[in-house]
Formats: sequence, structure tokens, C-alpha cells
Amino acid sequence: MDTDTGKSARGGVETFEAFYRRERSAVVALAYALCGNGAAAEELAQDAFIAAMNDWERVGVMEEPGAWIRRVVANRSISRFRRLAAEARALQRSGRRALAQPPVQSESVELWNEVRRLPRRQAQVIALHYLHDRSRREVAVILDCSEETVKTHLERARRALAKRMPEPDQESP
Amino acid sequence: MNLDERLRRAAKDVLDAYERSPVPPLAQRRRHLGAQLVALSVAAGLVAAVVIVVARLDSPDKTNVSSNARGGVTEQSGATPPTPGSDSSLFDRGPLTPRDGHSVIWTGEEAIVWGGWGSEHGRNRRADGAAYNPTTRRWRMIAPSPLSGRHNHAAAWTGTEMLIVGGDGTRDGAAYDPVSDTWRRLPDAPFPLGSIDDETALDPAVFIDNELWVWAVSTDQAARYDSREDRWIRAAAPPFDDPADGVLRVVDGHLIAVGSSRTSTALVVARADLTTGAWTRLPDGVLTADELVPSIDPAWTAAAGDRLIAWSISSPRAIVVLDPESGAWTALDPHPLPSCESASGPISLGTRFLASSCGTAALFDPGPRTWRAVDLGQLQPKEREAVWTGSEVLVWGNACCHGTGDTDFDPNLAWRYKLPEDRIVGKLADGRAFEIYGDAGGICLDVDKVRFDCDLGGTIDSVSPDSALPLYIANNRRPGGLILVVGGLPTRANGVTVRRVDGGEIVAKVSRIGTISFWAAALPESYLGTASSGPPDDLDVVYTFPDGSEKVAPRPT
Repeated sequence: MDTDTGKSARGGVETFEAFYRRERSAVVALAYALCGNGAAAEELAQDAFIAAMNDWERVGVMEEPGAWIRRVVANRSISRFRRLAAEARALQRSGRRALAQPPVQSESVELWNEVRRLPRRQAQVIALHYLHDRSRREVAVILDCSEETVKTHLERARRALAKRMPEPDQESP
Repeated sequence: MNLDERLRRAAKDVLDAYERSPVPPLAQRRRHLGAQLVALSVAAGLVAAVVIVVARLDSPDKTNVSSNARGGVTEQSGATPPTPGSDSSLFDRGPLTPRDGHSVIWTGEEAIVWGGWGSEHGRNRRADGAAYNPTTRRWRMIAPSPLSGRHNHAAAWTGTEMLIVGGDGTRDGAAYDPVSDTWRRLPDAPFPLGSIDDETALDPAVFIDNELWVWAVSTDQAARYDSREDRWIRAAAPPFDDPADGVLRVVDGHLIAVGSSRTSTALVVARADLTTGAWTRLPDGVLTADELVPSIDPAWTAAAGDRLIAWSISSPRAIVVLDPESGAWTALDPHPLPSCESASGPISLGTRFLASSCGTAALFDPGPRTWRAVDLGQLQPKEREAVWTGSEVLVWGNACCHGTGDTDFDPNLAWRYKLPEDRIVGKLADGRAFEIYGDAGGICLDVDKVRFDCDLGGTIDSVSPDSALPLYIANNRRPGGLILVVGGLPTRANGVTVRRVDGGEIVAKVSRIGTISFWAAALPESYLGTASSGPPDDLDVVYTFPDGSEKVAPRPT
């Protein structure tokens, strides 16, 4: 199986089930990194998989279904309205009880919080590049922009993050 | 550890957290996923299917008539016309197949539904449409469009044509002329609108001052289509820093952009100069945030009269009002609607707006700042599915799934409702029947079923049945010298007379008409040109009581 393209090794279209099992964790992680809420991330990822499942005849034959679903999740996760709607649904289902967050270390939570404060394209580029270890070219394909644009966003994001979150030994006077 | 290493470690941390959790069984997940699709659509205010709601009470044709799929007209029966005062009932079935993400526009005569995508697993994007005439209660299929099937396109009415542009990431567009039932191609927009990859992506578009303004929020680009010149002009996007969401609203002739910030609960607002296309940033609208769900979204805004209203579905149910002229925001008392995930964006009804949440709906009038409960049954009309004709609400949307989680669309369930106190009916002192109803431009008056005027002052909604103070609506523009006095009568009063202050000569007199607490009187032509918010200075309005006593009505202060 080609994990990047979502196609089977024989070149045929993989089943949605196989796609879902392979991609789910990574896609939820991407949603969490970009929206910062575990419950909303689950909802947003589910919504994207629903869209893929319902349109699998089209999505399944794409060159990179994995890129497609990452683009959908990356776009939806930074949409405030969709994020809020997902949070509200999760809250509704839980009876407005507090929802468990994924077991992520506090330093990581803090860093992702800063990433989310970046302009949305920069945040998306950082998440896709680091979380999914995607090259600039691959990120460009996912976000449907040029490699040069990805490079620019990546550099600006790093500069902004370095400024906001200096390395520990640089914080001391 | 440098930034690169810290980012990689933070990424691994998140990935590990999710890779450790088991993948839910797909068989169960599918059902769950299916239910959630509907929930998302409801929450996003974008669920739609196929319903048209018409609250036309005096339709002369009580037979349901609709077109078949081939465009022919077929007779239908069974739908019962609503009775005055009822809020909703089943209505005409339409000829279109069920769909989502379509558009509905109002031409002044017909509601035209176009495009969308089928509910059968999100496929089958539609390129067909149909028009509904609420007066004749007839459907007709409109001519096939030159566009490909699409959803979440921009749609607007220019006064003579329906414009359809973009949708699903396309740039092309076409204009439909309902008089000739023909289409013409438009030049391509400068950038795509909507997204093929995101079924909820809807880029805002409004038509104002002969131009269609579109704003692709995700790419932060804007453009104007000049309908007179048939050309596109690139425009500045609203001056918001990386908006997360946005809408365009027309408020009292102003074009207002409303966006939300990803980092605060404030609404960001700007006003466009319609000539130059330049934007002026207005003060942010700030609502109190709920501890769980931040409170406000641009979609929950609506024009009501000369104000922009923004409201929140979360505690404490805040509502604020923007004066687009001055940019001043005013906070009002909390609104009565419950917090709910399925709250939908309000629908502008001329001087008022209609909002719904969790099966509860209410009309808000920014004049007296009053809320009035409305029973909409299961229907939660959304902005894109609903049009306001000036006196009626027409909705074409899905009524099946709200709150049920059911994914099965019922395509042609139709609902209609009459908004409460939307019109006042009765008889003039001379026996002629009158009807007063709200219109987009003001208050309309029909006398003996003939339109007398639609430019009266005042608002019907500012009159409460419990009001002891009458509202006077004076018309001085038409021959006949008609002056209407409309308002609540004291409980025991059984009539009203209008008398000259000097001498007491009676110039008009009516008795209480049934249970209606409003009345109107025709006055002599000598009062032509005496429009006022109260009776002319030389006239008194006097209540009469069964015991023969009288009481002069207080004058509005």
C-alpha cells in the first residue's frame, strides 16, 4: 500500500474502510493541532471522513486521497464557525460535561497554542510540515498553493514562533 | 532544544496520543458519521432540501398546482390552505429533486430555486431550477442553465435577472431572465468561489447598487460584478486581519462586511464605499463569551430596518445592534432563545428578523426592542433557504432532520406559516374592508383588496394588542384624505370616534370590530397633507364605552 496516495500497491482504488483505518489517527491529530480541542478534533475529522465516504467514488480515485482529506481538515479546523459547531455538537452529546483532552504534554499544548495564533496559512503549513512530516512540495499539493508560498509561510511562521517562544536558555537575562 | 526540535517533539506528542487510541470500529462509526453529517449541516446553517413555505393568505387559487419534472404543469390537491392566524401547515410540493446547498432568490413575483447537490451521498450536483409563484401557487421548471451542476454558489436578484456565479470552486456564471425564461453567460469571476473540497464553504455575495459583490473569505479576495457593464472589477477585501469567517450584509443601503477573528470573540466590521470600493473599519462588536463555546459568529447577524443585529446562541444570549452610519454598537437585554447547537442564522424580514434555535423561534423588532415567540413547528429556516417577499416568508429547505439525527431527507415536505401580527384586517367606518401589512419599504394598505399605498409611516409591530396608546398612521399622499388610526382599544371600549376639538363635530366613527383591537377610519379630504405620528391637532380620538361614557385617547408624546 502506498501510504501517501491511498492507492493500493496493485494500483487499484483502496476501500474506504482501509483508507479510514490508515488515516484516522493522523487526521484527528491534525485537527487537534489546528483547533486545540480534542472533542472538536474528533468531530471535524469525522466530518471529513463522512465527506470522503459519501463521495468515495470521486475521492477514492484521486491521485492522493490522503492529501484531499488533510486539506479538508486543515481548512475546516481553522474555520472558527465549524470548530465551534463541532465543539457544540461534542458538548451536546456529552450532556455538556467536560470532555477529555488527548494525553498531550503541557509543553506541546503550549506550543500548539502558539501555532494556532499564527495566520491560518502559516498554522496549516506548520502542522502539515511537522505533524505529518510533509515536504514543502507535499504541503503545497495539500493546500493547493505553490511550493514557494509554502516556503514563505514556513519561514514567517518559524520567525514568529521563535519570537513568541524563545528557547528556554534564551529567556534568562 | 531549538524551535525545529521543539516543533517535532510537539508533533510526535500529538501523533502518539492519537495513535495510542483505538480506531473505532468502522461499522459503528459509519452510522455515527452519517448522523453527524446532518448535525454539522444543521449547526452550520447549511442543511437544505426541498421545501417552499409560503404564507400567502389571500391566494385566490386554493388548488395546489405544480410542475412535473418535464416542466409541464400538473394539478395537485390535498394541501390545505392555511387559515389566518395559523403558524404553519403543509404546503405545495415542488417539482425539484431533494438537494442541499441550493439558492433561493425572490424576484418580486416568484421564488426561484436553483442548483445544489443531491442528498444521495452528496453526489449529483444540480444545474436545474424551478420558480414558484405564491399568488397563483404554481411551480414551473425554468430553462436549463448553461452552467454545470454546483452548490454553494453566489446567487442574487438584480431586479431583472437572477445571477449565479461560482460554487464548488468554479468561476463561471450566468444570468437568468424569468420574463423570457432564458439564460446568458457572464464573464468569469476573477477567482473561484466556494470549494469542491468543502461542502460547507459558502463565500458571501450580495447585490447592491447594480453590482454583485463577492468575497472569497478563505483566500481573502473580493470583486464586484457591474451588471450594467457586464464586467468584473477586482475590489479590496474587507480590512480584516486573516478573518476566520465572514458575511456581507446590506443594511439600509450600506454594504457591511462582518468577520470573526480566530483569536477573540469580537466581531470585526467594515462599511464599503459603494463608489470607490474602499472599506472603512467600524468599531468591533464585542459580545460576552461563554465559558464553553465562544459566543458569536458573523452568520448570526441580520439586517433589521436600518440596523445590523448580532446575536449569540451561548450564555448569556447577548444581542447587540450596530448603527452602520455611526458605527456605534448598543447592547440590548439578553434574547429569549435557548442556547443550542442547531441555532440558525437569523433571517432578515425587512424591519425585523426571525431567529430560531432548538425548535424555538422568535421575531425581533429593533424598534421597540421586542421579541415575539413564533411557532415554526419543526422548521428552522436558514438564511439561504428563505426569502422575504415583503409580506410573506418563503422557505425551501429541509424540514425533516432537525434534532433527529436522521439522514433521510424528505424532499418535498412543505411548511408555511404566517408571522403573528403581520397584518391587521378590519373595516373602515364607511364599510370598506381594509388590510394593513408590513412591507420591506414600510406599511402597506389595501382597501377593498386594492392596493392603496405602501409608503405609510410607522410600523405595525410597534403596536401591541395590549397597548393603551394608539399608533396613528397618516397618509397624505393620495387623494381621499385617508387617515388611519391604528392601535389598541381599552378593554371595555366598544367604539372610537374622531371629533373636532373645537365644537365636537364627529368626522369619523367606528365600532369595535369583533375581537380585533385595531381600527381605521376614513377622514375627510380636508385632511389631505396632514401626515403625522398622531392625530391632527384639531382632532381628538375618543373611546366610547357601553355605558355611554367617553374617554379622550392620550396623544403620543
